[in-house]
Amino acid sequence: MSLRILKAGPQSLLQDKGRRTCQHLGLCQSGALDTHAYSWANYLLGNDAAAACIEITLGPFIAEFQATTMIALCGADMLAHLNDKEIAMWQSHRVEKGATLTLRPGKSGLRTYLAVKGGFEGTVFYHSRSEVPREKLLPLHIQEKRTVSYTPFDAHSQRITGVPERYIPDYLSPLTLRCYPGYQYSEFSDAARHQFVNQSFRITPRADRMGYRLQGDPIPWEKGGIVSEGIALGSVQIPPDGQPIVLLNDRQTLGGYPKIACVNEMDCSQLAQRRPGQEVNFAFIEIPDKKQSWMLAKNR
Amino acid sequence: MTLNSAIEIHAVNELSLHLKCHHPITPELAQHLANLCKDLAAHYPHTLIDAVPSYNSILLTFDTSKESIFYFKQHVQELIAHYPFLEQEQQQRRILRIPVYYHTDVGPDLRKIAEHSGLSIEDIIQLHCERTYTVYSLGFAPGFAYMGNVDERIALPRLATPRERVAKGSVGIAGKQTGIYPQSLPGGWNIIGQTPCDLFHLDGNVVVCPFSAGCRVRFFAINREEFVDFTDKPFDLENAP
Repeated sequence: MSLRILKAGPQSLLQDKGRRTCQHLGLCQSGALDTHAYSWANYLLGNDAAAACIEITLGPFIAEFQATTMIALCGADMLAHLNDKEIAMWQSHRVEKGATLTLRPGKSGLRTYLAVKGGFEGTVFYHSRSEVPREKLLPLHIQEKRTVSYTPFDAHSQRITGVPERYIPDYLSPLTLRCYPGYQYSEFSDAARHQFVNQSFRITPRADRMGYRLQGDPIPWEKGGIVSEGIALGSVQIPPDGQPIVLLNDRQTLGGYPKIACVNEMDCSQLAQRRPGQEVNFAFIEIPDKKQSWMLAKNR
Repeated sequence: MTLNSAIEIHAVNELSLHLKCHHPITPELAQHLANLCKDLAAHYPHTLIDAVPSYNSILLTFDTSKESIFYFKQHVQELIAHYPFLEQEQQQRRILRIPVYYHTDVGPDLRKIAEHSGLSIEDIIQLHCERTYTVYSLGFAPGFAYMGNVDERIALPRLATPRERVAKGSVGIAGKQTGIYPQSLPGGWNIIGQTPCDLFHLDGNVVVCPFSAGCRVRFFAINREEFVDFTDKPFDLENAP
């Protein structure tokens, strides 16, 4: 059985934890941009932590469920309606066969994760169902008039669960991107490093799954190009115009621009919910010597 | 100085280690780093998410849900300290031979390189064909191999303004590097010809790509008839004439 897509908005994609063992071929990592919202959506349904969700950017998104199931919506508030009834974000819901889900652009945030009990089916490529339109390698599932499959689930006796208030982020709040000094950090001048942490940067319209271009007083780099090297998630690249780019999940695998820092994974999630025009700033911290917890907000 | 002590390891975030090798960029180094990546992948079958070699570095990304990145850093450090770089026999790697139709019809920058270098187009073709190149890394796009080093006389910097579309199979030069566009893409390399071979595609969900870091490549010139004849046909790159 499946979900029939009636409206997909500017970008709706299947996403999960991302691919593995493929970046050496030039294939990007991909995966849910906001791992916090994505992980909660799966958690609310008792799904596998790597189950595929639909990442809906902005909307409008309209889809019809062709079998009963449970769903969860986490991320940007998109004025969700199930048939004509408004439903809450950050909680699970029972869905009847034939019900229509409607999402529209809300006041804050950019991306909402729609999880279904058991996860959505998709094409598995390098251990992942995540989709990368730019690569033009595999057909995309979340397209108007297409369907995406899931296993029907009798939801009648199921409990509704919600995310505790303290773990629900406010995407309008000021955002400090905690980052680690790394790569060419020590080759930047003191003035450049000072410039980097002592100002706010505005998010430009050139912000997408590949990366977020920011605008502020330029960060100087006098040393020319560097030898191309692998780029880690959250790398802050400084191109010749001095305007930082924070590189996200669909980034190219290699880059030849100097990198002053790496934003931590959790703050990359928060950045991906900020819209062009919003401001962010950077603060250096040390890499925590502990394993990563998926419930990232606990650290916040 | 041995390679063991030439490699510096830094954690760049909570998931990734950057291995920087203080050693000249050579085909041998590319081979060593490629071997090291393979051995690391075998060593961490479940926890190593990706290993990306490039020129004189490797980026390793781990699943750090059970151990912190510093655990992996120490582990990799110990492994590299005793890694048998020297004893490793430099396997005589296969050489891929790639047919290229060098012509101004499909190589819009051939004339510019001729003007710039004072060489004839025939000379440029000969210089491009007479070297054996090493693949230093794959990136930019799926299956795009960065190869080097091209003869200094034909090494021209990237275009100031990239083209919106470079045809699939186009063979380009950027500085001392040469490469082939595996699909039609925007790009800024100087295009000197086109190969009829399909160098990146999916067979079901499996990538078919002849290139990997460390492998060696030679180009040979074909004429228009051969170019048309070879297009999209399976081609044995290892046993080409």
